[in-house]
Amino acid sequence: MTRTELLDRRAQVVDEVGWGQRVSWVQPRNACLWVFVAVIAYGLWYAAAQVRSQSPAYGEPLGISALVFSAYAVLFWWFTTHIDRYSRQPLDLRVAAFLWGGFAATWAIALHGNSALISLYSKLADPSFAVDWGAGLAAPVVEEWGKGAGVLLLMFIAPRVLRTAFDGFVVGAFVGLGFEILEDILYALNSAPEGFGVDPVGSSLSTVALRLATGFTSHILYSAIFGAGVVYLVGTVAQRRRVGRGLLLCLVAMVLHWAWDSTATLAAGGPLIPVFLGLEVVVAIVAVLVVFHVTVGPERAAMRDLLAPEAEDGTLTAQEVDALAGAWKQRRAYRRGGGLHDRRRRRHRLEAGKDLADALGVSQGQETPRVEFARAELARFREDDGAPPAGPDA
Amino acid sequence: MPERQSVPPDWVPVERRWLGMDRATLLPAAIVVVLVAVTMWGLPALDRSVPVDDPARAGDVIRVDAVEFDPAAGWSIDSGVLASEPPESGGFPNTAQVSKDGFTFSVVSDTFDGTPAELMAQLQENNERLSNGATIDMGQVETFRTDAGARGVAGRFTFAGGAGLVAAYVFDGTGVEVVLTGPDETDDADLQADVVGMIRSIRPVTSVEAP
Repeated sequence: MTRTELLDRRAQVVDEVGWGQRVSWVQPRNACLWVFVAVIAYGLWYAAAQVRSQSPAYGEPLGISALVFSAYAVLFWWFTTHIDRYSRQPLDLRVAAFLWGGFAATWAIALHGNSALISLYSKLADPSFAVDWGAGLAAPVVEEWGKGAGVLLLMFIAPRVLRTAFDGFVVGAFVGLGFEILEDILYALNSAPEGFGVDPVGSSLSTVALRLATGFTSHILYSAIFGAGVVYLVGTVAQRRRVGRGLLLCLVAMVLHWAWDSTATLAAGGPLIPVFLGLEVVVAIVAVLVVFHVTVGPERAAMRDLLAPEAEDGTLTAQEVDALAGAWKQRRAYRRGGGLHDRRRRRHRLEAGKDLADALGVSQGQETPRVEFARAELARFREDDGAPPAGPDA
Repeated sequence: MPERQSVPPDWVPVERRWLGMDRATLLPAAIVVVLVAVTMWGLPALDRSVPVDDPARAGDVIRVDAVEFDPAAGWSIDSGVLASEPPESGGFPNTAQVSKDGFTFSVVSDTFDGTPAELMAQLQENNERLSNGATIDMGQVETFRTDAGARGVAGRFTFAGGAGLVAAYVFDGTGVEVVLTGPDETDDADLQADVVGMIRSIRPVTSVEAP
């Protein structure tokens, strides 16, 4: 390809995947934005009412669990941001997804829907059936669709940003993170009166420990899979509609959720419960890894196209482009490629290369002072052995 | 017609509007509104419209985690699981409720290390902590014995909606709270006998049935 063709391809790919695009939160003609704001506002109001009524009695367990889960949220926020290393979702979109998961999907949708469904199962089938299967037949439907609704709305609120199935995967993960954290705090609060309220903090901490241990393989994971499914179902300019694949991913998320909520029943309440839990965790991790690899392909290809002109003119080496557009194995291979003494420089080169990709995305592939500065930063960590930097065939 | 310039971001062309809104956003917004309406109002309304139709029969036993009691025949089992119909998951819920003629009889079982009197004091402490307006008349708490010979305490309590009876038991580390609410007065001797019978029937589960 000639340089002109490479630059044209870069401009095309930046536009396609919405690289560097911002979200506008002033769209009075956007019905999705109105619904998004209204449902979150209701959820916030409902949550505030709950806190107001419970905090006089159980303020201490509420405060402790909120503190613990906030730290937990920071950890998973970092992790989810870390895996979104290609056309990264803007911060405000991630915050919006978290808020939908934390306040709209939980308080406005799941809380009412789950209780009513479980009660209906008890009345229409029998109470034992509701104990065994009620949660498993209510939560996967109500909660997954409630969280997926957030991804759907955000697709139409930020249509230039949320364009690939991987975007849906990441945004879904943030919706799931919000849901997970607020649900965990609610569970901790609900467990405070256990044991007739003799030790509210101790009762809450038991729940906190259990939720901390099982957090990753629940809502964050299910919603990431479901979010990717929603993007496939709806389709975008960068991702043609694939109804079958979309429905399959939504179904996978719901089945994983069903299995998790029905573990005791599936294991017949016996000593095999830990075995079932372990199996479910393994299957869930395998499922999310498969979906990650299926959805991340176009993002990696876009990264490669974005950086191809930089490899062509020697700003980056072909190996560096491979690492930047590749998985952790390629990045590790690149970092280790120069031996122990060169590992730090190579790590900096990768980080600086990612900064250059971000700058190019923000500038829509145009030359700007920020892009030039990012290139200059890269040059600071060039090999200083006197040899010219390796070209694209290195 | 002059040539059209490039459309600015977030500009909604007039031909794409309906009642001033972007037509492309109406369907997804409507889908979510329907989802929210169904879960927030539809399902709860449907649940309320379906009556509980599960009258207790003579000989029924409701198991509440580690304890059980004999619901009076004819009372409606609003929640709770019969000991004869154990869930496959092996765990029974720790709450149950039966009702009749405006009276509700609810049972909660949970871990408690202490005496029935101490449990009653804890229940009053919870009322004060929650500021729920309920007050147990601790000066009038009386001791009684169940059919199985276990000791319990019972007393009257008042709350914003009226008055009721609360009883507390402790069976080897398991506390039980029973709350009866309903009309202030009743001259239905059968109903009173039902309540007394249920209160006295509460006992720990001695033989665990295989699920």
